[in-house]
Amino acid sequence: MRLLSNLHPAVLLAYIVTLMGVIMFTRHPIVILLAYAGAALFLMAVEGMFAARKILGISLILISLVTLTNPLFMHRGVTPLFVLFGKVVTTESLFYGFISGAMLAAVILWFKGYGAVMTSDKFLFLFGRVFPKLSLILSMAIRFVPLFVRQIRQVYQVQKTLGLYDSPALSDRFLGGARVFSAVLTWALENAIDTSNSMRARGYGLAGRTTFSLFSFGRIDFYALTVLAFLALPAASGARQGLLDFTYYPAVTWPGTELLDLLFWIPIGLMMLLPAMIEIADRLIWNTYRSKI
Amino acid sequence: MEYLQIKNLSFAYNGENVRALENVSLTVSEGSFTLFCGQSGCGKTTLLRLLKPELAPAGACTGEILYDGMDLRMLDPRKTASEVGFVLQQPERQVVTDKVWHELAFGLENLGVPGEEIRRRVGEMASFFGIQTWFRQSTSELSGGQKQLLNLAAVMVMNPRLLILDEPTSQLDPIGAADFIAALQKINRELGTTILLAEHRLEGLFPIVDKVVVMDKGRIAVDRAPAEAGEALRMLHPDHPMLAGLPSAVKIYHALGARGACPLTVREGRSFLSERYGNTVRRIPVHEKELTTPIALEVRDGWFRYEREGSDVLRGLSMRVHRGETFSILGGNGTGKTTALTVMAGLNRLYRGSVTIPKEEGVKGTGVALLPQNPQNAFVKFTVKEELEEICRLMAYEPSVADELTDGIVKRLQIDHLKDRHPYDLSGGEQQKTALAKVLLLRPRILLLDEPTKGIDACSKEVLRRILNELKTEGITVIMVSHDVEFAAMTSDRCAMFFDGQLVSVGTPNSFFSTNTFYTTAASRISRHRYDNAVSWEDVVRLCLENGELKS
Repeated sequence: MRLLSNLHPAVLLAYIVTLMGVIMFTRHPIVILLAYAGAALFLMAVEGMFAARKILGISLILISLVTLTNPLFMHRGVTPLFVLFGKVVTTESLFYGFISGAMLAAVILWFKGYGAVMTSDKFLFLFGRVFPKLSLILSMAIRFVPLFVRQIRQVYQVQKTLGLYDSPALSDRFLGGARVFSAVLTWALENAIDTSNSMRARGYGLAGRTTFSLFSFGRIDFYALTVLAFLALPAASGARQGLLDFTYYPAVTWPGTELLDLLFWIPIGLMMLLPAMIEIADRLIWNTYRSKI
Repeated sequence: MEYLQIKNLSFAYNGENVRALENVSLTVSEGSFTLFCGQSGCGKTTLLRLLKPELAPAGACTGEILYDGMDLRMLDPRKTASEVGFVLQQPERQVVTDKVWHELAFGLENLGVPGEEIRRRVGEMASFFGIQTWFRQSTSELSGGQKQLLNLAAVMVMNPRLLILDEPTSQLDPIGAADFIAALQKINRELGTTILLAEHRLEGLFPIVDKVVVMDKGRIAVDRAPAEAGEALRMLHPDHPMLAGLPSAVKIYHALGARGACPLTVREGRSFLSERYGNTVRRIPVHEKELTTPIALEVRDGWFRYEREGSDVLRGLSMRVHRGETFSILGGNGTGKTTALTVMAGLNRLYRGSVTIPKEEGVKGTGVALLPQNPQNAFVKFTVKEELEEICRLMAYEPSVADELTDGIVKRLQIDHLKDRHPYDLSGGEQQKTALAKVLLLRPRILLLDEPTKGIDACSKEVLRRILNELKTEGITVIMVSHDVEFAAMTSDRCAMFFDGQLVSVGTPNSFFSTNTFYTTAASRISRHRYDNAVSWEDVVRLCLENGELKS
């Protein structure tokens, strides 16, 4: 967690963009399964086995659902399994469904794990480079949301103590909600006056504003980008040669693999598994480090 | 040349005939610490805001404000933004960004300071204020005290020469307020920053400031060193309302008509008493009243927590409050006092134990009403009048009854003149009275108050005390949760200390505060080595007079 989350946001962004590029543009079963395995391992490493079990379970359900529904709509393929409601269910469509489901699940799991590393302030920093105003507005909005929610809860509770519109009747619930909302809007405007005063008092609006961030691009970030480039280049050239193509219909055909193709498959596999490996290595290194203290 | 010079400054807000400031003249030397006090609406906020061009209110202004001999309004905005820092009252509303580090950098970003320098200055300031432990946190996770300290640091990072603060501690609990004041003192002493501070709570401030400015109706009434301020105030008027807000040691000194150095701190007050007054009579007679009225509310072995996996907030809370009693619950922040109130109000349910409220004849429902800590949360309409009418409608009062009831309450709380104002435009004390009016219209038998003295000045406190006494004569039970030891000592029949989810000691204010050593009134801390049970400053004065002065 530490090593990954201490990387510069640009590196993290470059990684996820590359990864998603590979996952979205191929249906090759090996790539998809590697992506799913990498995401699942990474998530387990980040959140712990126990915490990750729920989302992993959901992802398996999702895979089964897509696997089972695809044959209902897709009847191509040459290997019939059985006939359902007068339609033929084929092995090919079942397999295609399985791989599509795995792809969806992999994307979801990746974003879940990625969110733990790429926090909102890092996103803001990246966008702030391009749109400085927007990043400040987003930062203010992120601050304001929890305040707003808390205020709604508080006003609502006070309304309840005053005994206003507290019956479960729909009209009461609606009226109560509307009142609370309008009160909280007034409160928000009132709030905004103070906030803007505080901004002006600290010189907001002067010309030549700079943007500060805690992130600095260090040597480790440079190494990380280099490694990523070395993994991405073979993948790109392999894709150009058609190694990522895969045919499901009319029949699943496994392209013959040459020894030289390993130069393509090993980088792809590393790319998928690297975050989980780094995470686990990080933990092991820390444990041995600590045992030496 | 003086650092800051105000000459014959008068100011009237746009569209108002009454002047908010009337011929104010004042000089402030560099590196000094000036305290501004006065009742709400005395003009101190207006004066302070006029000293910060970015926040100066709109209106007709005559007179001069000279900063280093230059007209303040003619200065470069870049200079005033960095050299004059301003901290407002509400901690939460001044925070602009979502992360602590970003908030610290915000002002420097505006000034266009390069990244590397921001990093250094933010680092310096975070270390100076001890913020480094929560440097990377979200601002929404901070406590009120931390937020206000962050606001202070975020201003100090711009390296101001003049720091202006408008009631910065009024929304903080006593510990947060003390930390904040300590930070101010550190800034003044170690950095030499000039400080102008407006504040209601004067107890800990008199000893650390150089000058006290008392304002009254837009004029400067007193402009003296703290030790002389009380005397000057008394010369103006022997019962000047601002006298009520002075520190206990000062009040005792003046009530005794003493001469010589005026004690400002508890320590000075203690030696003042031992040197000057005898202590042959050590106690004031106390008549402990038996509580004979029936029980109004009882909590028996109450246990409560918010989440199943969370820790218990109430751990076997037991208490019994009699009808017509004023019962105060004191205790530190985050100990669960407010939770206890919500349980009594029926907003939260105990998972073990019980809350019993015996039914009174002719009362609808439980007859319990809760006044929230932040009165603003009780307002949902556009005028005070509408707020009150709404409750009448809710309670389905007959029009004649409603009018009579409303009139009575409005008169008693003296909010008649506010009827057409927007509740948000009222001062802290007025907002509280309005919220109280709403609650009283429910005709409660048991009134629950959550921090009723938070953010209101000494005079509003006095009014509140009078109202509570009147309610008591009508047989209304009041249960209040408070940090304000002085107020609880004055108003309560019984006080209790809340700690670790339960009440650890209960007693009459006199026995409660005279046995406590830390959690007690300043008057008790001043006098406990000489007298046994003096709790209020009036008690101390009475005992001193009874014992007479020592012959030296």
